[in-house]
Amino acid sequence: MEEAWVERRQGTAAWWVCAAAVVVRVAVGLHSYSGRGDTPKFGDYEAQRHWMEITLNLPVGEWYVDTKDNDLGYWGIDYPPLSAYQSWLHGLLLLLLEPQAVALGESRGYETGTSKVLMRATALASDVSLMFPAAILAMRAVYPGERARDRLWALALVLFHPSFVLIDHGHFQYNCISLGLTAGAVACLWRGRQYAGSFLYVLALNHKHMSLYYALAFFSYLLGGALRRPGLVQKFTTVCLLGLTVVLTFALVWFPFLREPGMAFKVLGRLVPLRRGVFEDYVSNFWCVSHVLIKWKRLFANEVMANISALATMAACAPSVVHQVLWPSKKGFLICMLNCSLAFYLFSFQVHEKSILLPCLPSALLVLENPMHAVYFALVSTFSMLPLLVKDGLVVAYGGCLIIFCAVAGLRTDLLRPAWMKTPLAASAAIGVALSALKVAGEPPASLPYLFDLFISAFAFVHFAGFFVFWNWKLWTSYKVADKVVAKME
Amino acid sequence: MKGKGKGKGTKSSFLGGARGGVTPVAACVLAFAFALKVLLFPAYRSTDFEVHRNWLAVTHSLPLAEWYVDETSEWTLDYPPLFAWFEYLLSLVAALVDPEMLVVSNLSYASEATIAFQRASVIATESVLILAAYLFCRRAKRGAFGVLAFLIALNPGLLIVDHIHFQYNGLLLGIFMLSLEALQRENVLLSALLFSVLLNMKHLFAVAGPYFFVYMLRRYCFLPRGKFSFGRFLLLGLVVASVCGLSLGPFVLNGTIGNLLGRLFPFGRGLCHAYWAPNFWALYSAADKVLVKLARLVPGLALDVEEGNLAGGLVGVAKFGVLPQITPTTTLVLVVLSMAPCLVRTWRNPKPANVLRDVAYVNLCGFMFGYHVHEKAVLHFIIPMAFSAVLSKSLASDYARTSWPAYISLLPLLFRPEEQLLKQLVVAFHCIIVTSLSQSRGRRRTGKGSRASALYVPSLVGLQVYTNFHQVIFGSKYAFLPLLLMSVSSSLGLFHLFCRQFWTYVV
Repeated sequence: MEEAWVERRQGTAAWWVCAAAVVVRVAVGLHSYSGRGDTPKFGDYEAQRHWMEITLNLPVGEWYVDTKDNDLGYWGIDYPPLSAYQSWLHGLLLLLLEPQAVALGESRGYETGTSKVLMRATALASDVSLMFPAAILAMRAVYPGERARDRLWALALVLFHPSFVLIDHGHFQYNCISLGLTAGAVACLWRGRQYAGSFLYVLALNHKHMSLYYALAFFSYLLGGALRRPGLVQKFTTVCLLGLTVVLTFALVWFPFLREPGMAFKVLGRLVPLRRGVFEDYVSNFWCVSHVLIKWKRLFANEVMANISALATMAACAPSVVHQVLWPSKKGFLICMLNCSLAFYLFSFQVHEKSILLPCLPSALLVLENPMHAVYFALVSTFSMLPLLVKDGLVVAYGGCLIIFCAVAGLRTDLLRPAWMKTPLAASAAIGVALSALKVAGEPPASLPYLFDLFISAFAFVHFAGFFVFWNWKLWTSYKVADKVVAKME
Repeated sequence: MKGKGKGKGTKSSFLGGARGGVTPVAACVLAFAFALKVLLFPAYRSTDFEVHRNWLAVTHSLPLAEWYVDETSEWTLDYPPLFAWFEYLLSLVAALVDPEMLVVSNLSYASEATIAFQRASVIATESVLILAAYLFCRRAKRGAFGVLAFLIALNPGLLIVDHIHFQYNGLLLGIFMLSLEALQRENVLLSALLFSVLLNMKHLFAVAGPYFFVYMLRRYCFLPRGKFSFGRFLLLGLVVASVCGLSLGPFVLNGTIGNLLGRLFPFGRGLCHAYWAPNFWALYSAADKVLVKLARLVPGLALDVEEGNLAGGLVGVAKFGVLPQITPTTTLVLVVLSMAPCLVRTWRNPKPANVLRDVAYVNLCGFMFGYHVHEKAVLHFIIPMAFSAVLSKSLASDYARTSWPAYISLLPLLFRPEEQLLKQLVVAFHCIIVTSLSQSRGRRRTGKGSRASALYVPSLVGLQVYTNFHQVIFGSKYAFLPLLLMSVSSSLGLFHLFCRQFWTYVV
């Protein structure tokens, strides 16, 4: 009965998935957020609110500059200009309905039930207006030949992705904007619209510079495509036009900061976090996990460490980048995106646990390519952020989101293929559940207060490393043919 | 992780059904619903949350003789004994979670563990209703349970009333539906047992009592040839009497039965609840309001009426200005009269296939004309209607049309800004899907009624959308207006449903 219904109403079924995804987001929004009631610094929620306060009340020129009214030591804006514009836009809503929430200087740590609703509404609106349509378009572009119900399932997996939901609507951030723009860029590239794709990607980059994780993938794929053009002139003009698109987009976003000499550099200076260490808290990456054996932070000065990690990251990205320059293909591009962002997560400098959201996007877009991988990647990524979620008071939301995701994933009964994977998967899931329970309910030994966090990081790291190796191997063994479409790209 | 595993044995890769009732879709819906309810833990809790916490404390910490005597909290125990025993059973688990919630003097105690425990107890006990849904679908078409699981597990009424506002309707309705299921399977004694248990948990279900009595008398006590079997009648009476005896007996023995009955049947409450439930009396009260306004225009007409006595939200005996006063007896007579055609039909021809529909109608009568009816009582007829919507194609569109006013009328229960979007989305989601499901089964609305009903739902939805902006437009002025409009317009829809069904029973 219900199968027939889905078949008949595929068009509207996507709306139902979106509506259910909104319901889940609102429900998660009822829970706590980062730094709630935690004076004097609070958390990401207060940072976003503070940015609204700054952008609404100060002229553009003072946004990134330490002034009497703008104490950069207190959640100074350290995201690119598009984030600042978005803060201004969202701030208007608060200014209209609850002006005291964004009053200059007086609103620090402003927390009321109604302002929380408004803040949550801005995150929800961003998600619905950017990530939702981008996910729909991306799924249509990437899987035009698949059955519509499979595509619907894939869409549901993106929209119910526990990491996306928990970080944006629980912890409180606007990753949906940069991720949505990136997903839109992917959709454009798959449709052969490389200039529109570059434009959207540069916007994503200008909303959250962490999107740099994808830069090498975009660069190699577009360069590889350009090099496939017949004739030297065509190759050259394509590269130039792409470069021009990027430069113009940057100029557009940075326009207010280009009028004053030196201002752009001040903004740039705010974006580079060299003052901080190689990793923060417990991240499931190489440096953090190997820190148990090799004390990187003691061995090397921060600058040296930055160079070492940059080298390691480049080395880890190299195979995928080279592959895409030589044999650019659409699927290969997505895998390259996954590999590069994962390489950045595993090896780069100053990685947050939330950075795992970046590899999550290409992984989720590859869902019909390898359903089990995408589903499991999503679960592990959320698991890797458990220490953060516990700190935020989002344990119940964590459990709820994971079950919802599993429920949606379980609609596809052939998920657990190949069959021999079932036992290791079950073992891994059991350990994951056990570690989660330990972290939530257990008391670590007094001498090792971060023991469970380390367990979680190490366990997740093993998986991420496995995914990284698998997809690199997959890329080099299965996709050694360039798309004909790329060569003909108009 | 219900989502995984259940559909294993099937060959089809996607949305394929297992042979049994639980298809992957049903499993997905159940797991999704479970997780959504868990996500609702921090949502708004009404005073009913404290009511039930107090009952946990009273039943756990006080001797039986004081259950219906204790007045430490203003939320005294006013459900029948078996519900008190249910609370006692819960309290045994609660003692392991957080013993502080079981201290009678700990008024308004709500630690995180307490909230989690009480919310979880609602989710867990609702599985009785899910079980009933599963049993009903055993004989239905493949995939029926998937649809019914959606209608029940993700029911917006239950989400709002049980999982946000806080009550145990899932459990009570579950027992109710189980007794109906037994009735359909011709297991009359089990049905009688379940129904008497239910009556001794929440006596409001007595509205369906006359129907049960007539049906069982005719179907069970009269043998196929029309001969009355006194033995069967006695057996049936024994089942009911023993349940009531077990429930009430201890309180007769310890002498607190008077207090118990006083709690169960409080006098001095008004015809309408603080917020008008969308029934006949809402229309009656609104008509009276209008007539009073009109009468004021007539010079020299003295009216004995106080201002704002109904819409003011006072729980007291209301007085009408123009229309005749309504006494509890009047409402009782009207309830019995309205369900009479259905009872007569049942007496003539008690058919198991009609049980669901008839019971929904009887409960609707109680809702329409009952005295001091709560808006939450819409669940008493909308849930049986949801069950029948899956089992009978012809009733699916009835359910779809009724779901709009029924669920929308529950929205004022949640008034915090946090839940505004959530509650309306959940209701809209359900109603639109149900409408679209019922139409895709080839029952396009035709005939005379179509134009009016085509206008009704959009205007109802429009009104509901308007209520969001009322405060922006008028500030705190006319705060009663949206509530009044909503209850009157919802009651129009439900009254229309009642009239149509009444007519089909009469003709």
